[in-house]
Amino acid sequence: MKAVAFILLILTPFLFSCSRQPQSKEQVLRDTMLPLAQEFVRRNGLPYDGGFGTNSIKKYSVDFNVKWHGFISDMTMTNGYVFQFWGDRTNSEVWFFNDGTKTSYNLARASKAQIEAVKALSLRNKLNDKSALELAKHFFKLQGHKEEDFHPPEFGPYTWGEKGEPDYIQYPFYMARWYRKDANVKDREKGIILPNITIKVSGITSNLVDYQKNIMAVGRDF
Amino acid sequence: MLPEAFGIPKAIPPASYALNNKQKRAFMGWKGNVTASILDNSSLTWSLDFWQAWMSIPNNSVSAAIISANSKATPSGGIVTYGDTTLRWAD
Repeated sequence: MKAVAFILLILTPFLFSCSRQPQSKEQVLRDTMLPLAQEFVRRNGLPYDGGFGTNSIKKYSVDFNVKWHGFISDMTMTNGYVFQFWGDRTNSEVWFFNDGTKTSYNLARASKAQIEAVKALSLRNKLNDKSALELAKHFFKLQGHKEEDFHPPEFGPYTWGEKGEPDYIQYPFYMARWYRKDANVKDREKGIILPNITIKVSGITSNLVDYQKNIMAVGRDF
Repeated sequence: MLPEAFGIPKAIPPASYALNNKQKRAFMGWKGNVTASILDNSSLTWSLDFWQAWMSIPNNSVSAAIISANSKATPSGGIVTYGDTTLRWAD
């Protein structure tokens, strides 16, 4: 009898976890998505005066995933911020963030006034290739990634055309992408999306404008 | 072969994409020789979720929409992606 009681005592937490009701979408929003977004904004020093109450959410969706025993979700804020999240049994995180900034312009059919407006925007760039890369690395590390776990970043400014062309314009935004060390970068030519971290920064505000953690484990890099 | 026929290089590192391409372009397809049998329910579910994720989430990139679709279904044909995977529906 004592042995049975002991076994039941040992198994109780397990039995409770098995019988636990799945979370509702509202619970995931309130208990996971909002805190993760708040923490992401604070960590990266992003400007957001609107706070993060449910009244600053424009729309959101949550999909529970049987395969992972977790969820994948997204949330658009009234200020234009977009977050995507995922979680499994043990971890959850922001794997996609975009602040709504337009980082490139298609000038193929742009009027002279539109081109001049884009050129004026470019003049507001306070960064150069070196400082922009440093800034991207700063945000890379802020998300907990380690440079030694990745290949050296591929990095460049957003541009229209190529240097030397008469219509060449460099936009005030930069992108850096780190492929994970175990990825064979040449495999891109096979059409495979490799595990990578992609970060875009603004030369105007020096803010993180886009973050993506692609094809990697939830809550960790390996 | 096919992406290059459309003028889309197979692999575009971020810097060279920014320097060498005036217009963002991407190409996506099923891996291998596709037969009708490969286009099963999971392929259809995957396709539906890809388009939904790409078009309805603002500034979503091709690669992010692929990850979202991958969480719903695994198409038996597999997916290949070339070109600029940061392409947004707005682009």
